Amino acid sequence: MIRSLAVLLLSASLAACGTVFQRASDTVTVGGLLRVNTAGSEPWNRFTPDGSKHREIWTRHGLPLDTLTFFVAVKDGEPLDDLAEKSDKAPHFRARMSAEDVVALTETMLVGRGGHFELAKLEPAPFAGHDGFRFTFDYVTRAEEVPRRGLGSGAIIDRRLYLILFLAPSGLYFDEGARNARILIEGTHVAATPR
Amino acid sequence: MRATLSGWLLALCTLALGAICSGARADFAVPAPFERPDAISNEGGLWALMDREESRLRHSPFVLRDQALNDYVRGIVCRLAGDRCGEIRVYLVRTPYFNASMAPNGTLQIWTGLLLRAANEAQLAAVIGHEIGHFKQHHTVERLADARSTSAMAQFVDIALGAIGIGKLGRITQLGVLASHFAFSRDNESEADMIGLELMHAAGYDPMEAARVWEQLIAEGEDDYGGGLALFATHPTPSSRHERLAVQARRLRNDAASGEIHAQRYHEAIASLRPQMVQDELRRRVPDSSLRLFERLIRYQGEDGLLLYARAAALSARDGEGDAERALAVLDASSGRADRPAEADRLRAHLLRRNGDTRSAREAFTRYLERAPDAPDAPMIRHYVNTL
Repeated sequence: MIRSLAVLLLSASLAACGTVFQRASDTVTVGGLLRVNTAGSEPWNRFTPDGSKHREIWTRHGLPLDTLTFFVAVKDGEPLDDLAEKSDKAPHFRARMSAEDVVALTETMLVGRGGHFELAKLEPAPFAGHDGFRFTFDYVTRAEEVPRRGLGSGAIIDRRLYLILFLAPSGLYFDEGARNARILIEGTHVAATPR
Repeated sequence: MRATLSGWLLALCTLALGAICSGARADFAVPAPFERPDAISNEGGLWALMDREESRLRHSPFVLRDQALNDYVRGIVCRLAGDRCGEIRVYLVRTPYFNASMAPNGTLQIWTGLLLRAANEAQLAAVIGHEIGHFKQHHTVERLADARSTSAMAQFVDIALGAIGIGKLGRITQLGVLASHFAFSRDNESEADMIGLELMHAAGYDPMEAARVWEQLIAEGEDDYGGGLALFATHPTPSSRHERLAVQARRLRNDAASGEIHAQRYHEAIASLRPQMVQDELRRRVPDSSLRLFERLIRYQGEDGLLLYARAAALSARDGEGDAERALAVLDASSGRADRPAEADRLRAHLLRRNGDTRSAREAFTRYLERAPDAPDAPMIRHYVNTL
């Protein structure tokens, strides 16, 4: 009885916090604009947070353990973290931003309210067939105090930001997930132009 | 001649501050250290909760381990707390908000956002003195005794956490909220303010700095308060508070020499921490209030390479009309300063690049690489140099 109730509550809570999870197939369209070839990667579960204009999240082991977030065609003047509380005044993406600025937006999104963030590497790298950048970093948020690692890959294409961000606890979850995330990043293409 | 606390309270009462002092007794004396509640009582259980939170805090990666800085702050605490110093354990916590809190078990948290914002040692002493005031008067313990059940207290704490969005601030703040939540009725606040002033005065600090702390924080931002919202959520602080403190401080000053502010000593003590604190403030990306803060620090402490860079970075982050030009002007004015961080060259390069001055941008990027050849973004910067 208690177990049934727990399952019901869990289902209700999952339903309440986004769309139903589903496994990604071989080629997946993300945000209507990116085509992601998942061949060679372990399976992922898809999750689109309620209320997000440009964000889709994938996870392999569950949201607390690993997240692969696609920020798709973020417009000039829009906050990268479009799910932040209004009172948080999340910083806005600007089309003229540099790769360093995008890293800074990521930093503010993750640890702006306190925490450690240490950039390990930022370098130029192609993204979806365009000139882009990739970066890796370590961070700890005050909220959980768990050492985590992240990798990002993105580009500013036609004044819009495309960014894929993989985050997981340092160690096994990051190492294994990053290998899969890189397969997806390399298999990403811009399929359509935003209206 | 310095007033004793009892004499001062009486004097204040006679100065028509009866409303504030209605709880003060003519035979007032500093309360004795309190006994730890019985472990099997509800209060004892809550006390154990605080001990557990302190244990977590002790191992937190956000607690600063710098021995010299810890010794310095502990020295201030002991000058203020006197013979109660031994009951207080100080934790300096890396958090970019203005806050300090004291739990009834003697755990004193001081956040780095406060260290960055205090203009001098006297201002830090003012905030610590206020917290010691709550501690000495057993405000938190009084409220503990009012808690009739742990579930009621848990609800109480949940409300407090929600009130300041603590879910996002995280675990590290919980002890502070647990502590601060137990007290802080207006009477408690006024009493703690007065005790804090008295302790400052007795320790030889200028009590006027207590009023200036609040004045500065309010001036920093109408809706952000320099990250002080967490403090204000548990310390109701009307804008008139600093005026009331100023009135009381002036009365104390009339009684003796004005006291010291120890600005130089303070700046030397926090010098090694400043780059990190400035970076944490910039990372908040609230450029309007950060700009007001940096400009005030420049006014008080004088220009230096770090603060000028911080000012330029905040202008660049705000990115309003003319901000890029203003940021460039600030960076140009700080050119040649040995204490200007390498990041200033990188920021200048980006601003020049945006202006289309590729030659100067390349030179500035090159200078950044000369100063920080192993920086994690060096591969990206080399790419700019090669493709500009």
